[in-house]
Amino acid sequence: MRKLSPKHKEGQIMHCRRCARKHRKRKDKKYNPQNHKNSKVPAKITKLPLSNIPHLRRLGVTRDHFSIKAEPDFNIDSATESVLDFVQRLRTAIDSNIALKNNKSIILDLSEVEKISHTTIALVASASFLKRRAHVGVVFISEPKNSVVVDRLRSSGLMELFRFVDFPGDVPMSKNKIIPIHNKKVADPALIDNLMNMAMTTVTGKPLVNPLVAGMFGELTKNSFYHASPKGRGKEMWCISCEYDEPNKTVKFSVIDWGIGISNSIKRKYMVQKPGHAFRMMLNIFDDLTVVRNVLNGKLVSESGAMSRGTGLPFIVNHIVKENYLSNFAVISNAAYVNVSTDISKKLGIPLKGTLLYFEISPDNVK
Amino acid sequence: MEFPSKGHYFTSKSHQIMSSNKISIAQDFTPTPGVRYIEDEPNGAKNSGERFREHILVDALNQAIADGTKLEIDFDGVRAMGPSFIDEAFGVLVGKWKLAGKDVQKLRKTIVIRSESLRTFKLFAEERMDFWQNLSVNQIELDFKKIDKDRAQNKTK
Repeated sequence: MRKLSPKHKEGQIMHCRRCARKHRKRKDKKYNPQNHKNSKVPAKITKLPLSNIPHLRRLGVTRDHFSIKAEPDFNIDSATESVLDFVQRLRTAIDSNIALKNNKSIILDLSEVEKISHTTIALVASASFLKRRAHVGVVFISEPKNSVVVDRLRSSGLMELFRFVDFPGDVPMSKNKIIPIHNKKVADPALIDNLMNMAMTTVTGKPLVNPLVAGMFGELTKNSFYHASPKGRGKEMWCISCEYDEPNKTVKFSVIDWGIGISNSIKRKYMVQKPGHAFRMMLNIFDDLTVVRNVLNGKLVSESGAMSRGTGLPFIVNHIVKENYLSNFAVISNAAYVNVSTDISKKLGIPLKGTLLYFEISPDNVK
Repeated sequence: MEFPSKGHYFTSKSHQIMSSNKISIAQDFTPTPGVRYIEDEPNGAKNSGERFREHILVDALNQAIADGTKLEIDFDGVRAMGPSFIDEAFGVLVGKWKLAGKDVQKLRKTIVIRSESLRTFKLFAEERMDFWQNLSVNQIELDFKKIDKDRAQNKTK
């Protein structure tokens, strides 16, 4: 057969040998792996219904939707691992939706939930904002039977975020609402000031902002912004949530980012700079919990590796928490949970990819 | 304190502040001091520790040392102030001073920090100044190199 340029199109009468073979393959719609036994090209996997694949079935995946069930205790403080498992499954579902370019519904089955915290709601919300619009019209909640939980969910604004909001950064600020912020947007100092004003009015009845706590909150949000978009590479949203518990005069804050986490960022830096540390990490002596504890104590410094940096978290631990300006200050990052106020720390079986920090201000913390 | 005889020729803010030998961060700079570096200031807010140090503190301090007087820094009246701001303004000032081979003891004696409402700010500022003072010149040099490298990387990316 006469050799022709491979650029020629289908439908021409003459084909070169190579193109003729391609043409035949394209025509052959039913691909039979039996014909390719000796070929290096792997045979196509026969399409099975998704529900038959065990690990996907465990995730609650069917042909039309992902269903993720929450445990009755859905509180990050008391049931940390169960909440993190739920969040990880939610992230997997969204990731798979994006990767496969489909819009499979994700149903968050909260029907059995008896106990839920605002921080947990914020964590679930932030886990959904993987990409702009990735959650809109895709994530649904099956309503809990418990009316208290329903009220909490409604007041947090979670439903609105899932159904209507195009760009989460545009959510109007109001009491108890979760405020998701885009990765390229720094927290406005005016927003922080407003949140603190509202918080102190709830706690003391007057907008007497403590500059120490307000400065710390600003610092945490700034850090979250940088971790959510490390060196401009990040594609993650970050999120602030405030719960104003008026009957108990308590305000609960949480700041969440989906960067790489405290421990991972430190490890990455030290792996490159100090081979000795890398060796210890390989032996798993330098685990996530030790790293996070050391960062909180100021023994390990930030990603820049400069010994004068990393002042933020030690300042909170050594001054603000010790002097009782706030309570229940906890950090969850990678596989570490450290509650500085209660002095409880534990290794987590299911890690959190990013960092979650939360704390409370009550009348006991006001001097 | 009386302003030096040729003081009326100066028009910059730092020299106006010097006439009273006192800097109130809330009144003379901003009530909401924020981030560490100038490039991190959000939405055009001029509230970084670096800006405060370079544009206000250094000039005022040089003037006070030349006059042999004390320079009072008043933290009262700020609405929010984070540790990064304090470290960049006061800690790094000591580091740079030491790196330039100037007398750090004299600097420490000249600066008087006042924080009546929240003593923690004063304690932390002094803690950071002590930290930088106790570093050797080599350590400071190495630290600044790392910081500059990190900042340059952040800028390019």
